[in-house]
Order: sequence, then C-alpha cells, then structure tokens
Amino acid sequence: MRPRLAVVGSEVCLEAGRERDRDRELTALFNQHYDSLRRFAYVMLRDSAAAEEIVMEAFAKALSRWRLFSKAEHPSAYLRQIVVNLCRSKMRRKAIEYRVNALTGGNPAERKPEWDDDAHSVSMDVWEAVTRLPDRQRVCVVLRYLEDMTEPEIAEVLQIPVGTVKSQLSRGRAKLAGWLGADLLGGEAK
Amino acid sequence: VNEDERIERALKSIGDSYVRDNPANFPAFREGVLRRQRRRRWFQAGSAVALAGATVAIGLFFAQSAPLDNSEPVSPAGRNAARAITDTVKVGDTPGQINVGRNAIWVTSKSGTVTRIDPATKVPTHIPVDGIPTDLAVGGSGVWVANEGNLQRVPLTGDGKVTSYPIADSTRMHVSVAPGTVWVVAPGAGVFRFYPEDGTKEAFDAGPSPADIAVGDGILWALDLSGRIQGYDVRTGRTVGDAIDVPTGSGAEITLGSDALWYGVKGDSVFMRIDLVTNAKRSIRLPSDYVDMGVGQDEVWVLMEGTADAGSFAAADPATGRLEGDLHYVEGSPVDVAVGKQALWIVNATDDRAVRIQKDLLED
Repeated sequence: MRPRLAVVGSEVCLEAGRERDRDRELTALFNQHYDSLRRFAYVMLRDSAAAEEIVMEAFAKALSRWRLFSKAEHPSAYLRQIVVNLCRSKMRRKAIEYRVNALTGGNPAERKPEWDDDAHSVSMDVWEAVTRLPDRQRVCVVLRYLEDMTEPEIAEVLQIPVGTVKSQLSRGRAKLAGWLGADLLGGEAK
Repeated sequence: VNEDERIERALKSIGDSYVRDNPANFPAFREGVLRRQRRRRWFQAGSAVALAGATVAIGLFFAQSAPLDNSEPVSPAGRNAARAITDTVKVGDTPGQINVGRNAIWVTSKSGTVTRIDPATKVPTHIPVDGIPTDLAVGGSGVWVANEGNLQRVPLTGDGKVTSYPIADSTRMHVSVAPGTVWVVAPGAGVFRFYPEDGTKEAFDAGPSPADIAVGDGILWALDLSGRIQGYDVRTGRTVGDAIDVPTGSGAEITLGSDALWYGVKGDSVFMRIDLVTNAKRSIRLPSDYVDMGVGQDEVWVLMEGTADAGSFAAADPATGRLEGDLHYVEGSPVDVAVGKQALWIVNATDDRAVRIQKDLLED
C-alpha cells in the first residue's frame, strides 16, 4: 500500500502544480485580453451585464479545454472567437425573445434616435444604428471599426469567405448611411 | 473626417468609455469564471446521470416490447482505455492529423513535420515538410499533405524527396485521394483536381464556398459553408441528386464510409449519418463535443471531448450511426483518430504522442 500512497501523493502535488500554472495563465490572460473582450461584447450587445457574463463564460470555456487552449497557436484569437460566437448566440436569443414578446405585446417601446450636434450623442446614435444591423453585418462592422481587423482577419474569425465579409461590410455601411444621413456620417449617404 | 472614421471613432468612444467607467475587478472575475467552470462540470455530470437514467428507462421500456439489440447503449460513465494501449510513440510537436495506410501510420505536426510510424517496430521517422500541415491523405503514389497553399507528396518509404505543388492561396486546405487523382478543397478558392502523374491541376466547380469534400465511387461530395452538401459527378461535373441540408458548414467535416456520408462539427455535439442511397439523415447527439471521426472497413469511431484532462471515444453503428458499446476515455487532449485493422491510433496534443489502442482489448 505504501508505494500506492506515494503515487497518489505525487499526483496531488502535480495537480496542485497544474492549478497554480492555470491560475498564473488566467491572470496573464485577464491582464492581456479582459478589457478588449468586454469592450467588444459591450459594443455588440449594448448590455454591460451580458457583456461581462459572456467574457467570463468564454474564459470558463477556454479553461475547460485548457490542454487544447494552452497549445493553441493564437490563444487570444481563440478567446475572441469564443466571445464572438457567444455574442451571436445571445443576439439570436434576444431576437427570438423580441419576436415572442411582439406576439404577446410585451416589448418595450423602441427609443427613437434623437439627432443633435453633441459629439457624444453622435457616438450614441451611430452605436444605436450599428446595433440595429442584422447580426452578421453588425459583427463585421464592429470587428472592422472597433477591433481594427482586416477583412481576411474577420473572415478567419467568422469562418466565412472574404467576399462575404466585404459584402456584409458594404451593406452595413450603406444601411448606416441611410439611417444616419450624410450629415451625421460626414459624407454622401450611400 | 470620412464615414469610416466617424463610425470607428463613435464605436471606440463608446467602448473605451465603458471600460474606463467600469474598472476590471480580477477577484470577482476569477470567482465568476471558476463558478461557471464548476457549473459546467456539474451540468456535464448531471447530463450524464440524466442520460444514463433515460437510457435505462427507455431500455426497460423497449425490453418489454422488442427483442434485445446486440449493441449496448453508451455508458456515459465510460471506461479508461489505458489497458488497451499497447504502444505509445513520440511524434512531432503539436500534432494535427493522423492516418493509417500504405503499411504505415502517418502523423502531421504544426512544427512542419510528417511522422511515419513503422507498424511492426513502432519506430518513428520524422520527415520535414513545408509550412504548417492542414490535412493528410494516404493513397496513390504517396502521402499527400496540404498546407497553407501547397500540396506536398511525401514518399511512402519516408526517406525520399518531398515534392511541393502550389494549389491556391488558402489557409485551411483539405485533401482527399481517389484513384488516379488527388482532390483538394481550398476554402475561399474552390476545389481542385490534381493529377499526380504530371503535377498539373484544374479547378472543379463544386458550388460557391466549399469547406470540405469527400470523394468515392465517382462522386465528389462537397460541404459548403452555409451547411449544404451536394454530390458532383467527377467525370461530367454535373450535380448528383438533391442537395442535403445540414446544420452548418463552418467547423464541420464530412467523410465517406460504410455506404454513408458521415458529418461532424468540431466543438458541437452534433454527429450525423447520411444514407447515400436515400439521403436520409440520422442525427446522433453525442455525449460530449465532437473532435474527429475515423472510418474503417465497416466501422466508424467518433472522438469526442471528455473531461478536463481526458478525451473520449466510442464506436458508431455503421448502419444507423448510433453509438454502441462503451464510451472510452483516453488521457490528454486527443485531436485525431485513425482506424487500422486491429487497432485505433489516436494522436494526443498534450504530450505530442500517438497511442495504439488494441480494439479487442477494449471489449474485455
């Protein structure tokens, strides 16, 4: 029995060591990515609680597949991809809730945009318009303008062809210009 | 200031304000993440118990009205496959795909090597290849390795010259071998037919955005990103039968075997058998997320996620797709499985090793 106990003891030590490593990695990942991921989720969803929840869920998912995750070539891209997928799921659920509520008359009245010249209000109006875009256009626009990602990078994250990204961005921009008008976007409405 | 800059400025202003006004709180975040992780584990354990209960209940129900099936339902509790492992072989760093064929076992690794394992001695030979391999197929005059743009032929003996052929600019090419032809799908660029005899290639029209292909019996099956599978006659290029809708093409793969097309989605628990004659689909909800599949002579094996420290696998009934027998656990993070006559080979990303699992020992 003694050797067996010794083996069990060493496994416990090994497990504790792994936990410590994982904690260290988690801290490093938090410092490196937490703010940018929750910023992205918040801009996508307009819901701070949901944004924080989603980012925590993404880290939990990454931890549960730690062996794969820690070996991933680009852990940050992997985390971002999880956050993007979770945001899209959340948007789909919200859309279903909205449709169900519409049938039962339970949706709150939509807020009408109020245009004025104040810079912050302009940002709010642009943001509100972005969140009215269809899911795929919205995610392409936010990745492009908030995250400064190129079209091929967006295609990689969303696993869609680059041509589709281009068309989604083009349609998204056209819709924004139509909704917000030339004055607000500082150019010709497309 | 143009339109693009205004959108960028607006979104960044909103996002930055949010981050500035809501400072990060690491202890709360850590607690939240760990709580979710615990919840996931409980949920998985609860699901396993519920599944076991439901399986027993359904089994008891049918036992009274129908003759017993030879196959037993998967036990979510699972069994450790360690006792069936007969060999462990070191392969290249961060292995990706494994395949069995032409009297050897072949493993790619992201460090840019293909490892040939001699099945008799289990001695590995590491063969350098260009770039990061994205797929591997064995057949014809060699072992075919795709990377980000090229198709490479590795000699079957493992000691000759590796020849590289440019195909298309694409990051995730997949390769499939048919008699006299090697087929390559390059997402974003299309499908290509490559002729090994003279090293030439030609484009093959297989729909707007093919993501994976499987070739057999003169038909090329193409799965596109929107989740549509269409068969094409490889001689005429004409479509064969109706398109088959599946949940998604993103992260999904298809394989031919046992008169069926098999469909799995990485990171999802969906697995599907599609009958090639009737196009009938049968979905199987896996006990864990799908990782990969291995198709052999009248047998199909599904590799899945398992626990935090182990992957799992089970056999699927080739006729119905239903998982049968025990769920087996294998330590580490298995990433791919290949099926040999007497053994399964599973490649593990945790310790960069391939393990040989003797099939008949799994049944003990």
